[in-house]
Amino acid sequence: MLGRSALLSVAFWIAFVGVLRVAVVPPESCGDADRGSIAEAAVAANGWLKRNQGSDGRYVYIYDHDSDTTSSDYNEVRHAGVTMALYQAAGRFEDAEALGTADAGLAWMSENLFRQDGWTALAPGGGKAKLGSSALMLVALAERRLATGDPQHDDLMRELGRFMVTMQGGDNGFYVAWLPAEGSPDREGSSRFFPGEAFWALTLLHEAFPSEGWDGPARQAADFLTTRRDEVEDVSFPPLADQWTAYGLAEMVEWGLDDHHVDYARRLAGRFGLLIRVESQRQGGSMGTLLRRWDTRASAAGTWVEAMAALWRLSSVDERLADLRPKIKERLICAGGILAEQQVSSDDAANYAQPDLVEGAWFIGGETRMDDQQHALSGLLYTVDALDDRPQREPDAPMTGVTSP
Amino acid sequence: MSEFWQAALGLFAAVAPAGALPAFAVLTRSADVVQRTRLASLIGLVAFVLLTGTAALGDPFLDWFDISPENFQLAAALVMAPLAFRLLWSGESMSLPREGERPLRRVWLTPLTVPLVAGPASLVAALSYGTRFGLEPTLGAAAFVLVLTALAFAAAPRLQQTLGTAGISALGRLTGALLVIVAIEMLVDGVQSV
Repeated sequence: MLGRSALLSVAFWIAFVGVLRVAVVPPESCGDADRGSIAEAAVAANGWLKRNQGSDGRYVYIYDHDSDTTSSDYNEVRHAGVTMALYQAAGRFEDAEALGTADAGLAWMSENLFRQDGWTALAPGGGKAKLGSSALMLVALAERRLATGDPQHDDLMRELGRFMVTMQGGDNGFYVAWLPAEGSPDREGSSRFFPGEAFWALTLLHEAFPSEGWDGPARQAADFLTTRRDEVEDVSFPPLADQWTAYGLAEMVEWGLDDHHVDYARRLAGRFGLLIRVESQRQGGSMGTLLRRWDTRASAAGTWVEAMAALWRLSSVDERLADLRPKIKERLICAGGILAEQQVSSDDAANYAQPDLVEGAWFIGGETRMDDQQHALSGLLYTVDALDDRPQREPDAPMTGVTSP
Repeated sequence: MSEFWQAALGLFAAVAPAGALPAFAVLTRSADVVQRTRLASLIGLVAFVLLTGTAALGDPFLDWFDISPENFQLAAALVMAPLAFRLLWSGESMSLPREGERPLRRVWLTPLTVPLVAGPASLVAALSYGTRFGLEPTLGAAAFVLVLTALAFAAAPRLQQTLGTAGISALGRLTGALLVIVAIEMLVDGVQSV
């Protein structure tokens, strides 16, 4: 009789584990999570951005490989972001071609500036000057300065910084845009991500010019982002998965973070960790895909990688987050591996009408958008840093032989 | 709260001695005091082996299945939910057997040990606490909870007499409420963990 009971127990446990495995916790998969694949994916993404720029300095915004068409839409915030990623790659790979491409992108932005009262903002066509596009332009210039050591745009960086400060409100948050036609900030509009972008830009400005007092508005922005932003923006599942804030906090860590900044960084690591865990389950087999049936853009997954890389740097310096360091690194490498696996290889790209628009890109529903490559490239570059246990973000040394445009 | 007490509270709620007591009492009504004490000890011992084995094998098990401990915590919370709601609803871990009396040798392992004491909820709790807090506090907590459970089982008739059916049912429902809290804590921790 003991045999029958034991058999029943065994049958019960086999059924239990089976149901658990299939329906509740599908396996997790991290794709090509090795240094070689991740570094190669970064090089290939950089290649896509370098190949796909128009003569006016703008990049291919959207390409559909099924219909072999590009979109006439454009977005200056994403333009500034792509330029930023190219400068990051230029510095890291000492890639003069990437620098040239980014400089052409910078030239397009420089032709679309709006100036007033000592500040400058990016406002294509004289329209609304969005905080996010100017912030990312400033970040791009800071990246260029780190990559090349070239100070020629320092004054423009300060002017963009003054725009950030002008747009900072009494609660340390930011107006989302300046309306040149009305001569006032847009007091109605709202953006979840522009404040984080402005925050990171201000931290980089302080890093570039440490004696000029940019850390004051940067700290105020950090306080707003870590204590009030989720409430102001009515984020239903806080904290908002905002990699820009992670970048900014990682930059600020050398200045000394307050406890509430560290608490927020911890929660942010949890949020991005959850997103990566769920994505890795979705990658883990057909059942995972079936149970969690949605697609993730590389621009989204790329931001998770960027955020985790920033939080890994932060946790490498601030001992209050040291307990999270191994897990953050594990998730970061996992997400980097997923991105590397999903990128279109040169062999697969050869099957399409325009392989140059396909190779090194990430597609969803047959479509790629330039910021898919931007976020993935930035994230993958910093994943390689984590794999090399290199917690500083800037290149080891400025590129040599840089000629200014 | 220390890791030991957190694991002990979670395992206590998942083992739910008060919810298991009515089924144990019905299935062992023919046993005398000595037999019941021996049976309670045996159940406690085997359940301890199962729970600690599960806790000890947690990491390799999860590795083998490609599941991170954090994602497993989410699953553990879901696995605990049916028992939690059953306890809240009826105050009992399992429905009382309606069939005629069965010899003790036929019931001590199944259903008295598995799944009444070492059921899905308590095993996933042991695995989850083992990977989260380490083996030492989890083993200590499992031993503590199973000693309490064995004592409660051994004293089942006296407890039923003292507390009455309603009293034991109320204790079972309270354990259910505790298990809901434990499951929610596990869920929240699983969501917030990196």
